[in-house]
Amino acid sequence: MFRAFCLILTGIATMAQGAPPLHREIDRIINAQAGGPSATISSDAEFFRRVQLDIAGTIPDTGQVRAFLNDKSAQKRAQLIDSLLASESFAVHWTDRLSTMLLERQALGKVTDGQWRAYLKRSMQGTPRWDVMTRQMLAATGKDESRAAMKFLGNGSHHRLTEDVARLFLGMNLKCAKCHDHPSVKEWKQAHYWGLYAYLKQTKQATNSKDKQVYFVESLATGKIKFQSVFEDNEEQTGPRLPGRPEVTIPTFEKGKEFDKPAEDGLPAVPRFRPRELLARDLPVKENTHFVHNAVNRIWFLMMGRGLVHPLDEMHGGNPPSHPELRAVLAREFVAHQFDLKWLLREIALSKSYQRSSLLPEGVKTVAASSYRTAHPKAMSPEQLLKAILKATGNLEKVTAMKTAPDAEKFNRRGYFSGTHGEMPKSFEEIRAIFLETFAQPAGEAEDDFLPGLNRSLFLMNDRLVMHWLEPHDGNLVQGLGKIQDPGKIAEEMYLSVLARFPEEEELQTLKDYLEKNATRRDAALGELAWALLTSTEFRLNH
Amino acid sequence: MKTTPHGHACGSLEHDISRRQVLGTLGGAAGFGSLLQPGIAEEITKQKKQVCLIWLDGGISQYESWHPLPKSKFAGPFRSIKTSIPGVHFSELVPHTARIAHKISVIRTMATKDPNHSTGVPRIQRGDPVDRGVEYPHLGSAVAKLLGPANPELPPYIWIKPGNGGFIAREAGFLGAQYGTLALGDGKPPIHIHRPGSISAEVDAARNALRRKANERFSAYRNASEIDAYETSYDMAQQLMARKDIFDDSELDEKDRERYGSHPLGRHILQARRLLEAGVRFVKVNSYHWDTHGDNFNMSQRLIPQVDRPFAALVNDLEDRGMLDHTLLIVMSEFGRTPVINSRLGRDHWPDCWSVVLAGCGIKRGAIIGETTADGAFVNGEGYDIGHLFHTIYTLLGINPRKTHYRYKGQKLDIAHGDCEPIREVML
Amino acid sequence: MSAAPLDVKKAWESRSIKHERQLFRAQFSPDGRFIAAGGQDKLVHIWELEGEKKKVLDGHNTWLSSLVFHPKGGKLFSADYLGVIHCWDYENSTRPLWTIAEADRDNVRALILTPDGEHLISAGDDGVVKAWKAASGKPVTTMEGHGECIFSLAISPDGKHLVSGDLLGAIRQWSLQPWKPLRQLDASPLHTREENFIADVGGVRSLAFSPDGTLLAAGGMKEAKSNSFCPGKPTVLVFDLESGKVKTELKITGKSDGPFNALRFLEDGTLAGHTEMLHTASELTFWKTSQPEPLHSISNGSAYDLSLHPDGRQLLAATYVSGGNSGNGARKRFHEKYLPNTTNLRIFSLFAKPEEKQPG
Repeated sequence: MFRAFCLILTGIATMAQGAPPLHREIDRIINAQAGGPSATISSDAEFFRRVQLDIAGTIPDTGQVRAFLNDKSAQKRAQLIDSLLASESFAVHWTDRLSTMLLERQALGKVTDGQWRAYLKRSMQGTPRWDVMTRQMLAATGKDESRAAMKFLGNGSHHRLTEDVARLFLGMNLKCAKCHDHPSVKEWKQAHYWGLYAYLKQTKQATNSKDKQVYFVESLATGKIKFQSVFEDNEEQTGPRLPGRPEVTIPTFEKGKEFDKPAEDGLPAVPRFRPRELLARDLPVKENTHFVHNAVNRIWFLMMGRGLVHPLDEMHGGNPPSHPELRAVLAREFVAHQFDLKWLLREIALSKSYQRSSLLPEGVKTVAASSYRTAHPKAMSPEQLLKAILKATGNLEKVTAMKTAPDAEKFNRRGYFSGTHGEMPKSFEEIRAIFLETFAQPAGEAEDDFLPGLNRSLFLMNDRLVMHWLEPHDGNLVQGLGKIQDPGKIAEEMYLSVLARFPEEEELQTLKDYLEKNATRRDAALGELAWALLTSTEFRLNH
Repeated sequence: MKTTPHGHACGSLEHDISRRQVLGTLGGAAGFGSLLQPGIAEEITKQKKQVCLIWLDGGISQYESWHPLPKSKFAGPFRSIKTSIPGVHFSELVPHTARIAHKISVIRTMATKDPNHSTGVPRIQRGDPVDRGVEYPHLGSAVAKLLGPANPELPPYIWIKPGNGGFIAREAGFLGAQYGTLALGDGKPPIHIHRPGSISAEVDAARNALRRKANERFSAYRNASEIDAYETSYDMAQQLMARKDIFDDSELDEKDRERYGSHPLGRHILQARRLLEAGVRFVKVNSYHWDTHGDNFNMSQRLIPQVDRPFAALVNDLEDRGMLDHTLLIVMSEFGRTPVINSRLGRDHWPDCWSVVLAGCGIKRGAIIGETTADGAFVNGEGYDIGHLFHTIYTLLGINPRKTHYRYKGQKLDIAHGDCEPIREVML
Repeated sequence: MSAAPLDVKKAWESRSIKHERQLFRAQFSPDGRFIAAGGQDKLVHIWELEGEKKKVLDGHNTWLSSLVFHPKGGKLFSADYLGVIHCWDYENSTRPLWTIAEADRDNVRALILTPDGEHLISAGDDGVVKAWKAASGKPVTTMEGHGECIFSLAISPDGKHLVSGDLLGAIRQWSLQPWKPLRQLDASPLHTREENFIADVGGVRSLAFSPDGTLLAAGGMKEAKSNSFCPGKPTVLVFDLESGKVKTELKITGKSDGPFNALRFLEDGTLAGHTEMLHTASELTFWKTSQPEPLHSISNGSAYDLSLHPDGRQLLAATYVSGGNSGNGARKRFHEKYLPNTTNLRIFSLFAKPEEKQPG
């Protein structure tokens, strides 16, 4: 019975005929609960930049902005959303996003980044079903084409996996419940932590003596997991158990009949009872509300900048969703659409709530982020920021094509930061690493919130690469602007390129004044004007 | 909610979240004052407590430094010499500290648990608290969190170390990257503190004025928090750039350099003095390779003077400047070194009985604490675990470790091991 | 016994003497009747080999750093890490004949007697070579030139030349008649200071002239990896004294990570050397100096000194023996059994072991 890898097919129950599509439901619920005026719908320029960043991962170029602003079709936003979701950039960007969410930039396990990313990209290019992907990651043994999904299991550290499964798939930060019942969240028990742990305890890595590859195997479960609170003396125990579900009974087998398959090629015998396989079977299912709620909450967060439950991993009774009905509808429809991430993204993007301006409604001084009455500005990931800077300054093509000679000495990144090495990076990968080091959160920490940092601002102020990109060369933005005489045209090009919008009168005047004042050093002045836009909040945030 | 002077440390969950938004990475600095009620902020600034941790990575041999015991079967070959405290002897390898022994205290009965490096460094620098499933901050990050910056223009935690520097988040543990450290690799600040040669001060001011103008326009009709935080991070960056003189070692006095020594640890301890004078809350000075498993005696002869001379100079200089009373100095390692001498005439790791040197900020002057077996190998009685030392440090800094807690994901966490107490016999 | 032909490949342990503390120096007396040894317990230990009578000379206040017999016997010179040298009439008295209180500013590291027995030469941390009257301990001369700690001394078989080796790998050659500097040999590979080290590591830890006086062997280790464990490649540089250049670089085949502390030439020109290894066995190694690879090696604990019996057929090695407590703590539970490491003075006979008659 435990061998059966049972794929639970979700019902194909869609909404009743004639019922409003999800994006309308989103707006209905948000509006009903608004309690005050909402921001107007975003301008085309504002929407265009936002949706490009959210779906395709970077800012648009000047031609794209012009074309979109000139497009008079009433359907252009919906058409754009569909074409972006079908693009290569979407798959690449959401590979970044999911990878960062799932691995939190930890270097894990034997699967290479390339294999892992190819797996995620392939998933995003097709119909990305979150239940299937979750199951692949949890069940991975390394044997079939889902070997790449094994990356999530890392090196099989049981505690890391327990914490990550709870946090990333169930919205439960159970770290504090490892050593005792959670002190402030009544419903989170130490037994929850150890119940999940019991699913993973038997999992370990083993090397096949023939192909020398590392696989994940399960050893024989010998009994329940014992645990004890640091505050109490009595010992408790549990078998595998999902939060809110009954405990799995660990079966006993006749001696000699505990295994399905004998040991082979250096891999141990395969036990009949394989709890991790049961976890993969029973966790990503529609009946598991923790799983479904967590999934819709995380996708909602990625698009809207704030989770219905926030923080994302504090999903419990004491921290209810801002819009309980909306969460219920999102969950129901996500299940009805077979956990299709792309479908959910599309519906959110189509909603007016997503498309609101980040400008406050008239006469309103501040709006709670949890009301979604204005668009909530989002952080750009380090990858987004790098590409956006390169694109804005017209250096993208040249820099992404940079490669080091195979025999080149390894770039001394630490030396670059400490100033002990004058050498500049010679490849895009090295530059990307510099950006990750500066703008990414430390490995193991979620990249949820916008965290401006002293070091990050110092970098944008003084980094040699950034300064170099603002000097005129290789047909980049500043060189192009240097060839234009009319300040109006300069301003237009610069604002379209950096901020993806046309300049306003006041901004044009500022630019004119600055260029006049610096007439003898025009190229440098153009670089400084572009730098000011590049370091502005408007550029730095996805608003 | 309790309103202790450090009430912010036990703030609510929501409070925690908004702080994360307002503060930048390592930005204990700016913004910090604004989080505290005005009265509390003043009180903390008034306290003006500072810390300098001199960390000898590995272990300094207690026999060759603070606890020579020449009659022990485990003694090395060096002389033991008189100190300025009658009846107390140090090794001849620490002559300068011997002369100022009456200004410092030595705990000779540290008894910790971990004999391994891999876990020893973080366990000791985190104070080895009860495992609560979270990664505790190292001492510097903890003090940055609990006290904030002493001078709001400067990061609260600066780490001077050989090798590379930069902004290092990992010491902050669950406190989050903003409580990490600004590390000065070989005493130098990260390259990004320097304006590139192509940008003059005038141009820098002009381009920042353009940026500010753009931000004012953008923020005029928008929710403020992220936008303000972003602007604040630039203010902090400019403040730090304006104070980069404190990192410039060409400014150091030639006589001082000679008194502290020209080796890296000497230069770095002198630089630490400078940063303390400038108002940095916590300075850690690292020296690596104090792990003399081989040739311990030839190495100790060359290594130990490298901490002796500059440490004694630092004590004297801080006293001359009236700073010793509010500056806590700690000289320590991961563990001591084995009494038994191995085949390579080295000493291995020894957590069972070792010495820590403390001075200033409420530490007794001339107290030599702790009774060991005659051969110095073991503590007579219980000894002090690292948790006791952390209780001592926090108490001396005006933080009550019984009343102050971290709040993480709704969980209330002791700032130091719950079963430990301050070491009263070393405190004034 | 001495009639047996020298054959290091058949060397065997013919005798051993155990001592409860670590000893760093062990020497045969010129008449072969005694072994003198010293180290951590501050005492000079004299074993009379016939009858195994034992005597202790108590006069040092710290570890012994050097021990050397007068070539004509009767007198023994010992030095320590406080710069004290004692001269002992070891057969007749347990009190020093005379004492030099501060032979060296800090530590004396090496002592040697001129072959005629006239002069005692010492050197140590202050980098100065000093000559004393062997009879009285009165100073004769000092020779300066080393900038760093001197670890080792050797005198040519003809008694005309002295060499001294220091921490930085400099070997200085001096004339003894008259006292004057001659030249410097470069053994700098035996010293390591990488950028991230905070101390100099290694040095010329041992020196020995070949019996014909044409070669000088300098022992130590190369390519130290850190100043913590101080692990390196044990190495002997064999200098051709005519050219002053390294002729051969001798290696070991076994595992050792410490320097060559001792080198002794045998009468046939075979060189014996001993090194150290952290926590596990090291080896006693023999070479023909024309070949880098060893002629033979014998597994042995780390050893700090070698001495050749006047019969030329027995080699004494002051060998480390673990007391079972080496390695990292914590040991609080084993409090009572926590004792220092010990020594085995092992005598290796350098010829084929005579066949034992089967009883009956």
